[in-house]
Formats: sequence, C-alpha cells, structure tokens
Amino acid sequence: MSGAPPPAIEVHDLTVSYHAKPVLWDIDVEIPAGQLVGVVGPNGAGKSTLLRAILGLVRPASGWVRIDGEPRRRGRHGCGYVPQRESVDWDFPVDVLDVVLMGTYGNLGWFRRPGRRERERAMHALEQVGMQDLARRQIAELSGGQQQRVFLARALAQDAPVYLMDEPFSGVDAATEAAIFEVLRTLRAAGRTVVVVHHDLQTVEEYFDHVLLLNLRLVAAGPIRDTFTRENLLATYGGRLTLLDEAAEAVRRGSVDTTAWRPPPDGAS
Amino acid sequence: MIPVEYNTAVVLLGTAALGLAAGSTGSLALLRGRALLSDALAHATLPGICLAFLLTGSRSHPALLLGALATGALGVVLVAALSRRGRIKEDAAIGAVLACFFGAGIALSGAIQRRSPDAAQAGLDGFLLGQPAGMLLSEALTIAGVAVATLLLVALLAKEWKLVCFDPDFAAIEGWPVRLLDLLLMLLITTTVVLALPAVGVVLAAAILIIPATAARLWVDRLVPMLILASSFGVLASVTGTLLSARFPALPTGPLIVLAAGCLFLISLLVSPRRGIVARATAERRRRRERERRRLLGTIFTEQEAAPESPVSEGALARRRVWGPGRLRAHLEDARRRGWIRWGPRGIELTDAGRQRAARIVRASRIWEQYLLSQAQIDRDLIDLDAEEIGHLLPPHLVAELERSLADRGLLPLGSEGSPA
Amino acid sequence: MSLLDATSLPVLIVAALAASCCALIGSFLVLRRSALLGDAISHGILPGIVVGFALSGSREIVPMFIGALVAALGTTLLTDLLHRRLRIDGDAAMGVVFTTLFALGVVLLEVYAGRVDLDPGCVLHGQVEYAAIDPASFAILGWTPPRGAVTLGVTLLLDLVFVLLLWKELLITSFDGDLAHSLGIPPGPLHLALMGMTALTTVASFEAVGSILVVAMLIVPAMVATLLTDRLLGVLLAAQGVALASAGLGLWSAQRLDTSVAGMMAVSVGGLLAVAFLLAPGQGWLPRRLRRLSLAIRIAEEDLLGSLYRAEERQAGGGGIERPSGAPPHHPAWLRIGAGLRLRWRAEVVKSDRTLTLTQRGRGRGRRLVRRHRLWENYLSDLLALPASHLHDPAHRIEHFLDEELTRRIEERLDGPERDPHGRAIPAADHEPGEEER
Repeated sequence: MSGAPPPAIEVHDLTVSYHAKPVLWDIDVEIPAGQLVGVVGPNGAGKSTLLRAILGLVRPASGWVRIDGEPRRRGRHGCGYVPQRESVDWDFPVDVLDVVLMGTYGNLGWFRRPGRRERERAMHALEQVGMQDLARRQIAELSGGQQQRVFLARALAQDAPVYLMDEPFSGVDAATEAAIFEVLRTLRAAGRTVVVVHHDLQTVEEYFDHVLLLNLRLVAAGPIRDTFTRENLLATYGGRLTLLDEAAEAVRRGSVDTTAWRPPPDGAS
Repeated sequence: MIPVEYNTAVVLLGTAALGLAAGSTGSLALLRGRALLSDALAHATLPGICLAFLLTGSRSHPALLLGALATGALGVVLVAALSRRGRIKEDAAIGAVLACFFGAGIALSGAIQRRSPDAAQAGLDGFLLGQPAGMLLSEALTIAGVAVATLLLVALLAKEWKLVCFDPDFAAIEGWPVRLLDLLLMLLITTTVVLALPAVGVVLAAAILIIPATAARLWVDRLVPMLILASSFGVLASVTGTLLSARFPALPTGPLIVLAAGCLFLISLLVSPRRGIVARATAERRRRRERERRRLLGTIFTEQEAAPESPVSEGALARRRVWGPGRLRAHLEDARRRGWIRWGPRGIELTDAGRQRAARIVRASRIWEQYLLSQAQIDRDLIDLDAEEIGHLLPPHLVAELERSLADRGLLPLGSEGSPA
Repeated sequence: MSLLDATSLPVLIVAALAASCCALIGSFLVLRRSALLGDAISHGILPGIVVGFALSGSREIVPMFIGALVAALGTTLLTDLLHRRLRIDGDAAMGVVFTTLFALGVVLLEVYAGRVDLDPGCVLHGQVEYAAIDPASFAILGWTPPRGAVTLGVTLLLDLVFVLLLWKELLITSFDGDLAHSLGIPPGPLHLALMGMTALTTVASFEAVGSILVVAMLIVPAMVATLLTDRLLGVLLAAQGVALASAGLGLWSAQRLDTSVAGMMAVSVGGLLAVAFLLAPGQGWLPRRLRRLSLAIRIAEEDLLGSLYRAEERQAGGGGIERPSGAPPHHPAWLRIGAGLRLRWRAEVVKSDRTLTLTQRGRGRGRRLVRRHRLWENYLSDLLALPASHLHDPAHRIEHFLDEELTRRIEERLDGPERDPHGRAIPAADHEPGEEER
C-alpha cells in the first residue's frame, strides 16, 4: 500500500435496502483517481443507488465509503454531483445562472451572498458547457439537453476532486452529448475523478477508462480493456442470479426492517 | 386618501404587517411543498387556543397564541409521523390531522361556552374566522415586529432556503443541514400562521400564505422578485379587505382579506403577461395564424415546384383538403394583402418577397424532416417546427450537412441559399 | 343518560347516518389518493349552498344540493385547470381555489344574513342536535322522523346505489386509470361522478357535522380501514364499522363532557386512527416493534446455537465449553441472556457448571444454521467470485433467512460441495438422531 495514492473512492461491503428490499448487495470496489469511470448495468441494477450511497444520500444497511482515503466529509469540497434531470422541479423560480451559482454556495458558507468572484466562476462553468448565452434564461424554458448542461455547469462550479453523475447522457442530442464528453475529458486532464452512470453500451469503450459492471451485486470492475468483455456483459445483463434474488426476497419477507439490524463486525466462521 | 378612524388604522397596521410576513413565508412554504401542510397546521391550532384559555383563564392574545403554537406544532409532527411509512399518504394525514384537531377544538370550545357563557365574548369564537376589529395597538405593533423579524430572517437565509427548496439532495451533499433549515422554515410558517389567527382565523389562516404567493409566481420567474411581489400582494389584500370591512361593518374582515387575495390571484391569472390566460390565448392564436400563413405559402411553393410551368389554381389548393373553401379564400386574401401573392392571369403567383419567404419556410421544414430522419439521438424540446430560422437551434456544421444531403436529392428549395434578407 | 333514550336516539341515528354515508364515499377518495379533494370540496361548496339556500329561502336539500354541485364541480375543474393547463403547483392550486371559495361563502352568508337562517358557526362545526329535533314534514306509522335522518337516509341509499352500480368501474379506475381507459372505462367522467356524490354527501352531512368536520368523517374511517385490511370490500366494511363506532363514541363522550357532538365525533374517529396506527395487526407500530424484537431474539438464539455448534466441532468429540455464554458479543447483553433463557426453556441447550451444552434438538438447529452459512459462502465465492475475506459478513446476515427449500437448491446449484471456501466441512442436511453423538 505504501507509496501508492489512495483510491479516489473506496467502497467496502456496501449493502443498501429500500423498505427491506435489498437493492445493492455487498459492493466492494476501489475506484482509482484521475479516471473516467463508467457504471453500467441493466435497469434496476442499483446504479443510481450506488451513487447516492457514495454521496451519503441513502443510509446503507452495512458497509462504508471513503473518498480520497478518508471517511466522506459531510461538507465542502466533497463530491461534485450531477443528478438525474427529473429530480428537481424545473418550474422553480430561478434562472440558469442562479442554478449554477448554487455550486458555489458550499464555499461561500452561511449568510454570505454570491459576489463577483462567484459570478465569474459560474459564468466560466457555463462557458465550459457552451451555455453562456443562456445565463439569464428561466430554467423552465430550457430543452432537456440544456437542462443537463446546466446541472453539469453547477457541478463544475463546485470545483470538487471527485464527480458523480447520474445518467448525464440520457435524452440529450448528439451535440450535447459531445459537449458533455468534452467536459469529462477536461476534468480528467485536470486530474479529477469522474464516475458516470451510463446506459448506452455502444459508447462505453469510447468514453471511459474504467468500468463497473453492476447488477444488484458487483459483477466486475476494472480497466475497460480487461473488464468490458463479452463474458462479463453476459453475466451482467444475462438475467439476475435467481437464487440471489430469491435470497433477497427471503430477507425482505423475514425482516421487519433490515436497516435496523446490522451485521456483526466480526465473528467465527 | 380615505380618512380612517384610529381603530381602523390600528387594524390596518396589524393586517398589513401580517400580509407582509405571510407573502414571503408563504412563497417559501409553497416552493418547499408545504402549502397544504400549513392549512392543517392552522386548523390544528384551535384546540391549543381553547386549552390555553382553560388553563390560564386569560383571554390575552399571548397566552392563547402560545397554546395555538403548541398544538399547531403537534399537528405538524403528527402529519410527519403518520405519513412516515407505508400505508398512509401525506395528503390523507394532512386531512385527518386538520379535521380531527379542528373537531377537538370545536368540542373544547363547546364545553367552555356551555360552562361559562361569557367565554363566547372572550373571543374564542373570533378565532374561527378572525376578528381583527378589536385589535389593540400593542397587538398590531407585536405583529409588525414579528413581520420585520420574519423579513430579516428571510433576507438572511434566502440563499440557503433557495437551495434546499430547489434541490435538497444537492444541499445535503454540499454539507448544508437540510433538516435544520427545514425545521427553521417550518417554525417560520408556524409563527406566521399563528400570527394570522386573530385577523383571519383558524379556517382561513393558511389562505393568506398560499394565495399571494401563488399569484406572485404568475408574474415573476425568480425567487427574490417573487418574495417581494408576494409580500406586496399580501399587504394589498390585507389593506383592501380591512378597508372594505370598515366600510361594510357587517362583513367579516378575515374572509374579506382572503377574498381580496383571491381577486388578486384571479386578476393575475387573467392578465399576467407571461403566464396569464389572456396572454397565453393571444400568443396561441397568433402562433396558429402564423402557422396557417406559413402552411399556405409552403403549399403554393411546393405546388409550383412540382409543376413550374402550370400556374397554381385555387382549385388545386382546395384539393389538398387542408382548408375549407371559405378559409382558403380568407387566407389567400390575407397573403395578398401582405404582398406575398398576387392574382395572375392564370392563377396564383408568388411575389418576389413571397417566394423568398416561402423558400425559407420550405427549407426549414425539410431540414427538420431530414434531421428527424437522420439523427438517432434527438433532444425533442429543441425541435421547433415553427421556426423559420434554424441557425440558432442546431449547430451550423449539422445544418450544412443536412442541407448537403437535401441538395443531393434536389430537395433544397431554390432561392433560399445564404442568409435571408 | 343513555344513548338509546328518546332524546338521544334521534341524534344517534342522524350522527350514524352522516358518518356512514361520508365513510362510504370517502373510502373511494382515500383509495384514489384524492383525500384532500374531499377537503377542498367540503370547503368549496359553501358559496353554492348559501346561494341555493338564499334563492329558495328554505332548508330543502334540493336547491342547496344544486348550488353545492355547481360549486363542487367548479372546485374540481378549476383546480384541474390551474394545475394541468396553467402549470400551477397542484397543492397550491387546490389551496387557492377552496380557501377563496370558502371565504366567498362566508361573506355571502353575511350578505344574505337577513334571508338565510344559517349561522356561520353552525356551518363550520355543525349541530347534530338540531338536525335531530327538526321534524320531517311527514310521518311513518305515526312516528315523525327527524328531517336530517330522512335526508341522510336518502343520501346513504343513493351512495349505496352508486357504489353497487359502478363497483367494478370504481375499483378499476381507483387502481389504474390508464388500464381503465384502455378497457373503455373513462376515468374522467367517473371521477366527476364521484366528485358529484362527494358533494351530495357533504351537503347532506354538513348540517349535522359542519363543513370541516365532514372531512374527518370522509377520510379518517377509510384511513383506519386501510391500516386494518388490504381488500376493497374489507376497507369499505371496516370504514363503516369505524364510522358507526365514532358516531356512538362521539355522542356518548359529548354527553359526558357536555359539549358538541360533531366535535367529539371527529375526536373519536381521530382517536380510533391513533389506536389503529399504534396497534393495528400487521401495520401498527406496536406489532412492528414486537416483530422486530422477536426477529432479534431469533437471530440471537441462532447465533448462540451456531457458535456452540462450532465450538463442539473444534473440540471434536463434543461436550461442554468453558464460555458462560456462547453468543457472539455483537448482541446487547439483555438479548443474549434472553436468548439463552429461551433456549434452555425450550430444551435446546442445557446449563451445568456454568457451561452451556447443546441438546439433541439444539444441535440440529445449530447444524442447519452453520450449513446454511457455509453453503452461502460457497455460493458467493463460486458464483459472485467474492474474495475469501468478504464471505463471512453476508453469509452471517443471510443465514437466518434462508429456508430449507432454498438451501437445498443452493446446494444443488453448487453440486453438493463438501467444504466451504475456508476448508471447513459443510454439515449434511440431516443426521439420524443416533449419528449425532458420534
């Protein structure tokens, strides 16, 4: 371990369940720093949940997450986040610049208003995604791809070492997709780690250096070349392991609330 | 200037201050999805008022309002507890708490009134629909003080609340204490509702939070202007209602204030320039008329393109069955007045201006068509089939590519190359 | 004072009828997740009632009902228009519409004060007592029923007819609007019809329970019912039971405390909701707690048995072990002690000389647990390719939940392994009692 930089994100034995139904099973993975990482898997595989668990937005039933070798700080300079577009109300009374400025709030702290410096940072982020001309546009008037770019700009304004993005490429046109990918490459060049939930298998090899194949459990993780193989894809998409599913169902039926009860730290095997 | 009596002036001060606070608080409540929760909260204050009266025997506002605060907060907690898991949905929990707490209040006040009939004059009944007429100067000043404090707090925490209301997950990731901020907001809502009780009463207290904020949202698209406008609407409604009730003493002040706010909402709904019904309807009508004009020009252009030698007759257009004969005639007449077509000896002819515009229209629609056909990945919101200009919607290299493939098949309209005049 | 004497009985009848018809229609509101629409309608109809009342100058229900129906449809359609067409937030739209209409109703009450014999207070909280003494204009077998009872009785009858006629349509539109649409049952008109029935029921009841407490009778009985049962018919019947109970309880407690019957009815039904929320079998808070506790005890028991079994394995030849309690230390002490006591009581372990020893039965349970644990470790190792250091925790979690059938299938899937990934023997499914002691 000595000498080697700590992984950007380290996930240990992470299990998450919603209403006693397991959605992630014993995920154990290290994500290397400075890479573009794709998270791939079928619908309902728990991809978004993995991001949310890394961000601390869902409480895991067991396991822990470390970022840059430290427990995740609930605070400034943690992770940049691009949520799914549908997660907010686009009728909210704010304009594009307002939303991007929210990315600077973390550094501002309580009570202080964003000033010229924050405004410049936000405008710079907007330029990076090619939206500087729409800074004063009400967000309800944006197209889907533009909304996605606004979220990306907000994440850029956060200026974080690690970025987590939930399906940024879904429902966008080719031009936006290219623009977003360009931003991802810029981030990598600046030494940031970017983890992206991705649904389009065609572009995985083109976009990412590293991939996590997920289907309830972690099927495989590693550099694209070794990991993104036909065999692993079949294991990921070729249906779930039925016994695993049934075991999950047995846990759900048998327990009142799995989060109330954690596995022991040690014990005889 | 309407001359007002001293009493009315005091009431005006109180209700105006209330409207001021309720506007901004209500806006935040609305944006955080707490509008109807505040209604449950308001109804849940009634048993607290009665209990406070029973316990202290005092009819002074501070004591009663403290009681109101207590059971109101209890109601909110119960809504959260009931809907926290599983079966009971939040709206049902809101309805249940609202009605059952109100029932408890009715039962308590019934018991009080049958035991000590003078309690009826104690103003307990006044809390149902509000009775601001008897407001003392000290009470009005208290309301004003709290209103100012409310505005200060909103000004101080506008940024934080904006973040939490828009995207609570993001706020949590950035390390903001979302629960604390939510709790503070709920406290602010509770305070404002309780403050509104003497003026507009338990049943309508939430209205003075909800209505001005909803009306303001129709006019503006940013948070701070919305807060300011909602507060102004709140003041306007309160003043109007109070003055009306001073003019017609038989009519209850609280409902009048709410009714005034309702009228403000109705007016906003009709005439607001962006989201108002009138503006929307005119814009829609204009858009439809424009679309018809473009369709006519495009049709004439393609008819002529198909058979350059033969003229376009009205009959040929009618055969397309897009318009009825009367409609078609009206559209043609309109196009002629605008100088796009003229009646030639052998039928309809496009003027130069008409030809240029028609070519642009046809070009745009063919490019869109080509775009839809050739691109797998499409941002549907980006497509605007009404747009004659595509340059600002699609990247230039893509437009050039689409044009090339059209030109290869001879589908690029002549006379449309380059930028239009 | 009895509930069944000459003065109380009519009140009880009126209260029960009001509660019953509200609960019937309200059940559908709750099941369709439009509980608050009931709230909105009961407020929104006030101006309609007042205008109908003022125009006809009487308490006859028909003009009031027509006014209320117009106002109710207005409330529904206006809310819908604001929300769907003008993109105003749904809650806000509803809040604006019904509060404004209610305020209008109160103002109109005062405007028509001369002609209208309606007291705002009465509108708000109802007067079951008056509705019960006001006699109807006809008599049945020499008995003149209270007018309120007649109105409410007819309303209940209409509600029943409505529900019975449209039973399957209501069921399917409540369950899945799109499905209903594809089956040719239009959800829109049905929704409006339900709103109309809600308006009728509310008008008929508001004299008795007032326009706000009617909300309690509309939605709370159905909420209690959904905590008790899963089936539509069950919900409807349970809601009726709750409604009648709260009418009785409300009248009884109002007489005891000398206060408003309607208010106490709302309090009663709220109390029943609280009781159901805490105690309902299945959904209630206490049963959940108890189930969680019994699960925790079972897990502690099994962990104790498992560790005793492993200890026996280590000291081949069986016999007792030195540790006073074999349960792993991660369970709280009380749970470990409780589990130990229960196991001794059920004769799965015996204690002698401060050591615990497995009995035949306990050994069987322990063996099956260890078997499940090791099979699961194999499964994770073989099929998920988890490293050896990551097998124990998940297996320790799942071992308490796998049943015999699933365990057997896992064994089959793995082709009956004999050793777990750490090289320990996997116990067989079943030993003959004699073999156990080696």
